[in-house]
Order: sequence, then structure tokens, then C-alpha cells
Amino acid sequence: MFKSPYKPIPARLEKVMQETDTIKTFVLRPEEKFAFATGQFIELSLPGIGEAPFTPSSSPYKTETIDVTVMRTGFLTEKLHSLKGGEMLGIRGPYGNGYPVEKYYGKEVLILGGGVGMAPLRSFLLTLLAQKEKFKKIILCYGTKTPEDVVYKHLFPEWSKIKELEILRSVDKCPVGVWNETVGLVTCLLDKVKVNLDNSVAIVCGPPIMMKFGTRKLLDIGYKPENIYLSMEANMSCGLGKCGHCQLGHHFICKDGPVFTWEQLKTIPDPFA
Amino acid sequence: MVKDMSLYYINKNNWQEFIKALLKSFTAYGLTAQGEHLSWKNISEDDIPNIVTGRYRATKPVKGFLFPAKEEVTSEPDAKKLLIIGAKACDLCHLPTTDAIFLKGVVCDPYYETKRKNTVIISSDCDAYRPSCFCTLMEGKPFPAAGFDLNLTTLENGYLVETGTAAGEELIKLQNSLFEKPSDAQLSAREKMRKEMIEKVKKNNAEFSWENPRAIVGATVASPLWEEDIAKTCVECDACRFVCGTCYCFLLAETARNWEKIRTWDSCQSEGYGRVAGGANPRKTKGERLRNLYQCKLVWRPENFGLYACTGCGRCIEVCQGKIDIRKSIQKLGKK
Repeated sequence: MFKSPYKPIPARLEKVMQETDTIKTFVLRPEEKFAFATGQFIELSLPGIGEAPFTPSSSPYKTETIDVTVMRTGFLTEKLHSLKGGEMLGIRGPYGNGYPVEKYYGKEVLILGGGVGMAPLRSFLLTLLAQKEKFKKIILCYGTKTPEDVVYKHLFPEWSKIKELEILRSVDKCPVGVWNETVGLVTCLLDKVKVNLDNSVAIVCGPPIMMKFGTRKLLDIGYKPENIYLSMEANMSCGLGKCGHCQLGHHFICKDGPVFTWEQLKTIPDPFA
Repeated sequence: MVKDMSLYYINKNNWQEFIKALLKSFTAYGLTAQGEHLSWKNISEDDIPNIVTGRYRATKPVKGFLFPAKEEVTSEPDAKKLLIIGAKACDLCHLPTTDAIFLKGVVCDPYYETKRKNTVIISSDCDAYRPSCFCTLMEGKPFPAAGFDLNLTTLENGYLVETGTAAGEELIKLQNSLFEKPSDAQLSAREKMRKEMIEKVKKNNAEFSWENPRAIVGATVASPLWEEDIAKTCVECDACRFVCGTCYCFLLAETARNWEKIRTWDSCQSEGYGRVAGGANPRKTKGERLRNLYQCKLVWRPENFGLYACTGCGRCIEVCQGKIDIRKSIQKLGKK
């Protein structure tokens, strides 16, 4: 039977969880078997309304349902946020390369996340934690604007109990007394971590401005360009390297990425524009 | 008939018979003249005597037959047999770009593939040119070297027909008696015409001295000229993108019918093309967008596919309301 690569498979919206004022996590149950590797993305469609790319925030080992964490920021996400659960949505994919997790075996993995950029990083972190003995060290540096903007608030207490995982968090600003961790931009957390640069990789995901300065800081610390992994999600549309929307230089982010090393991007003028 | 010959001669009467027979099994498009412009027409038997075989390229490229401006992309593709008569060398040179995008990569696009497989192309040599023609600046020639099933060279009373594929050869075999072995005089007439035509197109572009546009555009990414000069008169109408034979960008959209999607051509020159939800836009200005376009055609596609995604057809020059001429732009950028 003919199956168009552009036709989504149905997925029921099982549950909606409020993360922050503007961010919700949507739990989807695909009606067909659907597997992804961490860091790959899906196209999520609201039939008759539109389609947009999201990187699942759930563990790839959990296959019956997929979580996507979405910030309300445009036409489609506004509609998505109005859903209560039970609705039938569409998904296509998975697309792109994902994180080369096996390459990180035996290394220290530094995760640098900002805001809703924690979504793909949660999936990545869960992938690491499922096989934590394979990594020398796992460090999560996570920054948000305010304490309210932290996503997965309920998970951090759990994660903080894991002895193989070191967590550092920052907020840009907050009233006195509500936050007993770091206050400042997420990049300042990097001054506090101790890493062996010869055996460490950094995984970065967040808003473009944070990616830009995060990369700069990692380079300053001494990370090699080939050891900095960046999630370059843009407005991927077809997911198949054809429609052109996500082109960045000669790369098609949807098929050559979305995960790139800084080595691959450093010659492109202003890749975080 | 000599077997395995790649060149034949057909006189004008027999040519009409040949096409008449093909109309039984193909939906055919040929060129009709409206003043100086040539446009594609779905032809019937009555049109055959009037279709233009020589001259220059049509106002629209061949791409649209394989990748229509608007197309439904969720149901099974329609396998209609299509015959295109009168494509030019620059049109054929567009197809390796759209082939590389749609036929290769992560998946083969079934909509493009179906049309491509079911399309037979009879191209023809240019025997005239438009002021915007510049194939000779883009490593091209005004007559096809590849990419056709059959190619025509217009002679006084008939055509020289060259076969380019087994499918083309097969069409000739089916109506073998209409074709003859070409004479030496006819063959040398073709050579002479072709040489003259190259010179004419070169003369048309005599004011342009640039070579290696990839190096020129690649080296001028930071030039203030993009903003201050080259893109200044752009009115953001997108016409240049919609007449381009290598532009493959499209917008996927939902229809009101659940689970059905359509795609429409999209243009990197419109402000919203690269914009993401929340408003961030990697290419906010006209200069950034036009530079991105030139890089796409002249730097990145050579890097990806080993070819220029510009064949010098000049359509973008002809339709531009802001009189932006890619030849002049490269000339300016190339000046030290």
C-alpha cells in the first residue's frame, strides 16, 4: 500500500502537564509503533491547523508514549496549549541524527541547558542515566530566567539523589530568599565545574543567544570545537532534507543535524542568528 | 535504417506525423509564441504545426511539470505520461538539482519521482537568445549535451534528432520509417549553427568579465554591497524564485480535510521564510536574504552536489521589478 512520507501517523494526546506559565508537556500515544533515538525530532501536527518540529523530551527506551515539552510562542503552540487531552494528533518521523551517545562512552558529559532547551536534554539525560556506568561523569548545568521558569520541577529532587549526576542550576534573576542556588547567567555555572578537557564533551541546547554565549564560554574554558555538540533546531518542516526551510549554509539541519559539533558550524557566519 | 545511430533526420511533415502519433499515448506540452515570449501549452493535434521548436527558453522552466506550484502530497501520486517538447539546454541543466533533492537523500519523494519517470523530454537547440540569457557564463552552452530523451536541431526543412536515452531511441524505433540517416551537410550545418550560437550568447554578455562565481560569492559574504546596493531595489515580490528552474523550496500545509497535506512553492526572499515561532529570524534584511540566495545557488549546491544551481537561463533577471541582474551583481562583487 502506498504511504506518503508526508503523511503523519495518528497519536492520541493522553495527558497534558503544566510545567511553567508558558510551557506544557504533552504525552502522546502513537497508534502505530514509533521509535526514536534521543535528539531526533518529530513533526507534530494538529490536523487541519498545522505542523511543527519538536524533539521528544521522554526517554527513547519508553516506546508506548512520547512526551513533547512545548513553549507557547506562536500560532500552532497556542492551539496546542488549548488542548485538554483525548484529542487525536499526528506525528511524522523521527528525523535527523540525534546525539551520538556511543561516542560519549568513557567520557565526562557536560550538559548545558537553557529554559525550554531542557526538553531534548531531558531525553538525553534519561538516556545517559539508563546506562550511567558507561560515563566517567555526568554534569547538568541548567539556567532559566526565574525559578518559575524551571521545567520538570518535580524531577530535579529525584535527579539530585543520583550520585553519578552533578547538577548546577542558575536563574538570571529572582527576589531575595526564593532561590538558594546560583544567580546569574547559565554560563557562569561553567566556572564552577571541574572537567578533564581531554576527555569531556559538552552538549548544549537552549535559546540562540544562550547557545552563542555558551559555545563561546566552552571554547574559552578550552573545549575543542569537535567536542561541543549543539542542537541547532530551526524551522524544520518536511524533515527529509527537501523543503529547504532549515538550511544553514550547505547543511540541511533536519537531515544533517539537528545535532552538530561546533567544528561543523564554525565557518558559517552567525549560525545562531 | 542504420541501427544504434544516435542522430537522425526527420522532415517537417514527418515530424508532425511523429508528434501526432505520440499524442495518443502522452499528455503533451509544447511552446507557443505570444509576441517575444514563449509559453507552455497543453497541445492537441491542431496545435502541432504551430508549436515552436527552436528559438529560446520559455517564460517558465520545466521544473513545474515535475514539481507543480501546488500539489497534494498525502495520497498516491498520479502516473500520467507526459511529453515535453521544446525544453532548452538551460532547462535540462536545472534538473540535476531538483533530482538530487527529490530523488536522493533521506527518502525519494514519490510525487516528483512518479512524474519524472513518466516524463519524456524532447529538447531543442537554441537558435536565438533573450537579452537575459547567460548560459555561457555558467559553464553551459545554448544546446543540450545531456538530460533529454530526444533533442532537435532545427534545419531548413526538418530536424536533426539526437537520441539521449533508451526511451528516446524507442520512440524513434516505433515510427522508424519517418526518420532518415542525416547527410554530412546536415551534420556540419548543426556544428556551424551551434558554434555561431555560442558566439552570439557570449557577445550578449560581453560586458561581464567574471569567472568562477562560487569563489566570488564565497569571498564576499561580509561585503556591505549586499545591503547597500545589490538587494536595495528588491521589492520582495518573489517572482525571481517562482521562475527559477532549480528552486526546490516548498511549504507544507494542512488542508481543511483532516490528515491531508499540500505543498506549495516557497521563496527564501520573503521575510517570513526563515522566521520561527516567537519571531526570531535568521535573515531579517533583504541583503541577507539575497546573499543567502546567491550562496545557495553558487556556493552551497556546488558543495553538496558538485553543480551550480544556476544555469544562466536569465528568467530571474527578466521578471525582476527592481532590475536586479545576477550577472551585474556578481560583476560588482568581483571587483576588488
